[in-house]
Amino acid sequence: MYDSLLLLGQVSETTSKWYALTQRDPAILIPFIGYMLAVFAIAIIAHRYQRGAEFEVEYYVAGRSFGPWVLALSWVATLASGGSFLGYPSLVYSYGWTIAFWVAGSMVTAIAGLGLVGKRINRLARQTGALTLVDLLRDRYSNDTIGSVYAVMIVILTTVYLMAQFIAGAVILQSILGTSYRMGLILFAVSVVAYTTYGGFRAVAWTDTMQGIVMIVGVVLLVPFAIHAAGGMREATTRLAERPDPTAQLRGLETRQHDYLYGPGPEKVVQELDGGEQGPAPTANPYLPLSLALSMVLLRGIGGVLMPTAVPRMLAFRDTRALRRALMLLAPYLFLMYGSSLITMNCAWSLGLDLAPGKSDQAVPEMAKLVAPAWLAGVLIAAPFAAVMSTVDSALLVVSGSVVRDLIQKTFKLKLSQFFQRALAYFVTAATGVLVLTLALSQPQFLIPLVIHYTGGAASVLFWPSLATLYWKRATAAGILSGLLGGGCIYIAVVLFKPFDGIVNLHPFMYAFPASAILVGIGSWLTARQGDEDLEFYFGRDE
Amino acid sequence: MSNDKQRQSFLIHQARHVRQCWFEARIVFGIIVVALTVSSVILYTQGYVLPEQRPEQPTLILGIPAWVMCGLVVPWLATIGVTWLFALFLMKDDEPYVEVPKDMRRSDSHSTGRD
Repeated sequence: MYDSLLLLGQVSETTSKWYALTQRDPAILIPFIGYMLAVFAIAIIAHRYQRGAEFEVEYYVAGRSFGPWVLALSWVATLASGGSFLGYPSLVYSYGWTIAFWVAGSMVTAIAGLGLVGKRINRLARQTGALTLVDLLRDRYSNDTIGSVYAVMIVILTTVYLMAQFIAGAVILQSILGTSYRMGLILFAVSVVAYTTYGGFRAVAWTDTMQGIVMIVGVVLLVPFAIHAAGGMREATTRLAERPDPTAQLRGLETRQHDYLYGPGPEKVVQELDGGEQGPAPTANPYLPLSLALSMVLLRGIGGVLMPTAVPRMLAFRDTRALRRALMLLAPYLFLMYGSSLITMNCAWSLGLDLAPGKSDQAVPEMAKLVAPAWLAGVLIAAPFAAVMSTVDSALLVVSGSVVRDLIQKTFKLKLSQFFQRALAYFVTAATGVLVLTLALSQPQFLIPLVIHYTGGAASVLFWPSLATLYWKRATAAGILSGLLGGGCIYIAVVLFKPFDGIVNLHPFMYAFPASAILVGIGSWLTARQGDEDLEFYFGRDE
Repeated sequence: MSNDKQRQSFLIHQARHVRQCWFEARIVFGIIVVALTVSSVILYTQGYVLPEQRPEQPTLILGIPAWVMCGLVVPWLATIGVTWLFALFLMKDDEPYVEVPKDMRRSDSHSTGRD
């Protein structure tokens, strides 16, 4: 999820590398085709669970029945988008070991994501019957405005984010099959919308679990092949130390010694660089100055805790034991996922992979071509596609849940029979897919900034209001609204006006995130606290 | 059980659950702060070296730059270990699920859970 912008930034640079790879050996497509068939088989099986069950509980939280494996793998598959498997490796290729600082925050992603809020959300959701996080907020404050604002924010943010993922999925299919972008997009949209709509959250979670396995197998197995081909890790790093910085050369800057081995890294790659800068002498613009590194550490560490697409898992696991075991699975999973690409792509230079600045999106298929046997190349093709699919299916259900449950049923107070609940859920899920497909076909430019700022913006807006609702007795509806709207406004203001850029280069999240916390606090302290009767349900009464 | 007793029992269980969640959240917060601080400090102090101060032969451990090994790999492995300890010994299984008393139920309440 954090890496989606990396992928989006590169989709215009679509290459035929994957296609060339599949042409080398059509057997490479076998794991991919097998994976797609398995996805549809899972959806058909999952659909059967909807018979005889309370529809919405089954469709949106799979009967709250997840065990540790499904919880852990579906959570991580949702959080990791295609960017984690194409964009992040290309970053490592472009900037070498510098990216170690960039990715460091991921070491706490698991414990922050599941340990901080999982148990509390799950318990309260069972007690209140909540099927979405918005349900919980609305219930605690008995306030429709909060529910509506939160739901609308989720729908807008997630729809735009979906567009980026649709584009990424289409580009991957386009590359693999050698078809047009439009055909790739339609194939991708039809397949993912069909199994999500038909199978509901259980199908999404099960397919995510399989996708989580495909993803980790692909990236981890590439490591020994890459190290072996490079003649050992020491040899790879020693040769990387001598790598010249092409961007610095193009900009007429002196190449610094060992830039790919130390921070702040080589020069930041700028797409429109043409080699002939005008005006005053160019100044160094390394990729990862300390301020930006610290921003990424914090954003990657806790930014994903209350992401709309990840939260439904918290409402769906079976018991705390499942949560504890999922935590134990996730912690090493993330280490393997990010660590593997860090090693593999730092071997690339020593293998003779010399891509021009701005062409690093070819790094993964090129590495697959260089070192992977056919069967592994097939898995490597399926991995980013699986990552995109697992993010899209979850996001589709989040939008569907927000519209059907939070807006239509709760805000507009429509009482629906089981039949109409089912019909509406199917319709809204499919309609969301069609809407996003239409957006992705035209790729409206005004939406692109929203996509790039999805993660930082969502974390800035949603984290503190949600956390305060779960843990803080003194939180009030006014405080929550202040945090939601104020955090969003401050984030947008920093993005638009860049008031501190001349002083320090921090991510906008670094301003909006603490500001949202302060606003939740001030807004709550300035308004009357909730009555004891209301609070008792959430916080109990001491013996 | 009378409704009053049910209510009393539910509220006491809820208070215990909240206390335990707070306890766990404080530990998680501590782990996050320590892990990110230690890692960032090491990565910066050992990895952000001025070009003229960088050694001709960079120090490598298992082929990985020493600052990455000390600032990323080791803290990450330690965090995994601490996460396991937390999951095994500090995070408690919730107490048996206590039904929400009838007079406290939300309109959507449905006790599908067990804990």
